[in-house]
Amino acid sequence: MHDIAMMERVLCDPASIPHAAQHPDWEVRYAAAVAIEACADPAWLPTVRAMWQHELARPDYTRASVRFVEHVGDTRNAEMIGPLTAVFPAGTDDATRAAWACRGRVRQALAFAIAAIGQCDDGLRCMLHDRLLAADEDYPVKAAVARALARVGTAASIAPLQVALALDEWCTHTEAALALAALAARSSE
Amino acid sequence: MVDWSQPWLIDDIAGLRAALLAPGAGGQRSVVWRMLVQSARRAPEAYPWYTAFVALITREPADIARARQVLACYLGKLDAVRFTSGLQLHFWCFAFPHAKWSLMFQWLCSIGAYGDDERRAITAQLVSFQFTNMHYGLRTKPEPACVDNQTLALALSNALVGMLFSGHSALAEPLRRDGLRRLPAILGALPASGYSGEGSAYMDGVIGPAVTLAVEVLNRAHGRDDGLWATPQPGGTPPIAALRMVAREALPGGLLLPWDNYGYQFGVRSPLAYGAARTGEAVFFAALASCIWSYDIGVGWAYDDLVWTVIWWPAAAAPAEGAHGWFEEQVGGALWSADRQRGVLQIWDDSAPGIPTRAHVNPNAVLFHAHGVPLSADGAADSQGCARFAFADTWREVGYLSLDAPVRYNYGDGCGGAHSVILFDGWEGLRLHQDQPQRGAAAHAPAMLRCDVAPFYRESVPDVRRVERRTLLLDERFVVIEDLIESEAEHDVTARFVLRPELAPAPCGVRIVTPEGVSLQLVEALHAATFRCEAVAGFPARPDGRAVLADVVARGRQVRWLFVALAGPGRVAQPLTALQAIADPAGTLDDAHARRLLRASPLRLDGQLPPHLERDLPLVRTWWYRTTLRRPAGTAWLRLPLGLARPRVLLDGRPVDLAPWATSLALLPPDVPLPDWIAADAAFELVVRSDVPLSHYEGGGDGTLGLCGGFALCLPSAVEQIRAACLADGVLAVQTDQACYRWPYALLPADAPAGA
Repeated sequence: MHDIAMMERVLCDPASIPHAAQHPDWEVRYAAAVAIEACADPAWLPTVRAMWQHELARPDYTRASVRFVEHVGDTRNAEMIGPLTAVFPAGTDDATRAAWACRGRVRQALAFAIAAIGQCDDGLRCMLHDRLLAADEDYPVKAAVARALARVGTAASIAPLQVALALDEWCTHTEAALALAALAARSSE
Repeated sequence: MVDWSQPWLIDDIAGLRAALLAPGAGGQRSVVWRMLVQSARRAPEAYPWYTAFVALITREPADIARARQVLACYLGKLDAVRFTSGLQLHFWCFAFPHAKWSLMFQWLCSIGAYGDDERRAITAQLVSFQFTNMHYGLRTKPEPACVDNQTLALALSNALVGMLFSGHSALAEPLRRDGLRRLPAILGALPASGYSGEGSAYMDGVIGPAVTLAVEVLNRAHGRDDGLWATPQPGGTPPIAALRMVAREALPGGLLLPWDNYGYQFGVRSPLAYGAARTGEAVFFAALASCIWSYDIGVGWAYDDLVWTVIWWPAAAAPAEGAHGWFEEQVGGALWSADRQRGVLQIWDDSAPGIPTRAHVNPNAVLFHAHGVPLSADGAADSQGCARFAFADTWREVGYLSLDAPVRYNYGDGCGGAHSVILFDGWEGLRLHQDQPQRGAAAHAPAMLRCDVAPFYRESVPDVRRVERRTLLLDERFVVIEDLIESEAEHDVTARFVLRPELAPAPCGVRIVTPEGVSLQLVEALHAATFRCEAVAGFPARPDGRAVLADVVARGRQVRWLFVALAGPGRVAQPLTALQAIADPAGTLDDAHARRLLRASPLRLDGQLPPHLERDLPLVRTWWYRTTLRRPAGTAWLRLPLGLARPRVLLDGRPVDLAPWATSLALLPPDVPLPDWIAADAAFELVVRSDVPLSHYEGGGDGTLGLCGGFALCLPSAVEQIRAACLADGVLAVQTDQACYRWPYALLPADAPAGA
């Protein structure tokens, strides 16, 4: 069982964000990022940067390799109320398992937190650009990053956003188009 | 906050319990309730979606124990689900079921099925899973740009779970807040027609069932009761529009409009029951009357359609006036005879620019339907693909459908050439590349539909001025379709009709007769134009796995055709009831043994439902039926139940080859012709074996159909055929082998807008 009590606490008490932001349980860190978004306070940007760096240092989740007992297929698994057992490759450690379950969730929530704060330094902005340019990053992360860049992007964001615009994935494409339009509007002001 | 002492989203639980538990209660709702109870009690692991509702109604300890066991099983798989590509890439599919299990947990709590500690622990598990997966998923969808079934499911699930657990968990608050904010915006942003553009599969499977629950959730969130008719946002679409479109998609006979990649399929029932109960409108009752009750399909990826159908069953009777047709300016329309035995649809809904995989290219497509049977072919190629529509430039490879290798497929079956539309210069891969207007003016009148779709064609044929089609239903029998195509330069223009097999001889024009015996004759009346016919294999996958293309071609700057279509009735059916029946628990009886047992069996069944649902019988997969009858003189057929599985048919002990119905029997009842070796007036024995589904899931996610509709002996009925059709002196004259019909007819004026 995950530390649900801590997830609850961080949503109610911003004072617990620093602790939650470094929590070993990714679900608590996810809740911390959502809590930062709710605060929308630039004072949390260093925490966001640290969390982002921590996420980038975790095991790669883009090559998850899990087999299942009683697996019935992608959408049928949603309908089926039956046993399901995940079988991991030998040697898969807990950190890797956690990365495979979490994938880009914390990154997405951090991107939304940056969007809510509405400010960003160049270093953090570069991290956002990198996610748009990473070929194997999940699209929920790319779409969230594009949305954040609509608020905090600069002229340097245009090129990575144009890369995202060309992707054959509707959410990313849409957010990238909106972000480019927002940047164009800001530059004409 | 939600009152946890009452089952949420059920208006009158006391009244509902009284109605369902009343001794001797009759009617269709009682039949469905009985199906739910039988299924939940005999195989709760196979019918888990019924267990909580059955427990809620009966409150019997054994039923409650079954529901608790099912919920425990659901909770037990959540950790493993986190690693599935399904949850990671298709989280919306998991959102709706999770919300429903959260709701059913609340129902069980309302009858004291859980102690306080259990309740707190399960609440934490349900709400945290929602928070890290479905709330994350909702936020992935661009706001407010994304309006589709996926986002609707995500917004509803967050609103529902958020409201349920509000006050019980801080995690519920962002779910409630974001769900309730986005839900009205998504509902209100549906097109004015109520049609999401995603075809019947998603309108029936997700949009309709989500709209009903969304209205109930929003009504409770905002303390109102008019949410079905209210616009959720200024200038938005009221939810009733989407529900009406769900009902309009339901064709007589139980199939749905085949305008998306899923083609013909059966419909859901709960949105129809909800619409009938809340509005009393004829369109809902008409659709409800055609439902296939032995069909089990996920609504929002949850198999609780019949549960909500029972909850929302209309108390009032159907209104006296019928549902003769409909018209939506953005979408199309239908013309139905008063008895709904004959109809035609003209569709001009927008297709997806670029890659039309879901919203197919169908500008002004016509679909014929008569006597409960589709006459036009539409849908997607079968699993082997259809070489005829696999164009060189319509291949696509995507990486987000699977965590493993990219998926490659051809979307040519979504292009214009696979639909009953106008084609220019032989381009069958007709589709748009840019988002642009796709139609001009549309109009309707009683028994008339009309639309100009020239804007659609201008991207590929810039000089085109007009591509107008007008459809009429005359004397409730004859369909008249006029096409007027105008362009600046000459073009080769094709009017294509994609029909079901088989081609049959005709005095003029083209004629098909479906395996069910319903015919359609199509004649061109202005030029006596000749149809160029072509058989296509592998498209559409269902019902027949093949189609007939009937093309008329002309070249010019102005091309005009006037088609007359006449559908012939199906066969005359004489029901066969009270067949002898036996269960075959191992499914291994041979023919001789089965026949011996059948002859001695006192059990009599009608084949209207799987036996364990029709009567108080054990849950057995394989059943055999037997009857004897006398062969009438001349041609005759045996109509077998819809939904036969692993069927075997014996006539006097001789097996019948059912290969011709291998694909169609999933959607239509097979009519097996009586062989010549059975002499006229001779008695003969019919024996039929069929498996029946024993679980929600046997359809592999595409719906599970149990046998229904019963058996019948069918005889030929007289079919009227067109001998000639022409337009002269403002009169359209159609000479058939039975009569001459004449109607005043004015051609579409050239160079006039459609709406004029």
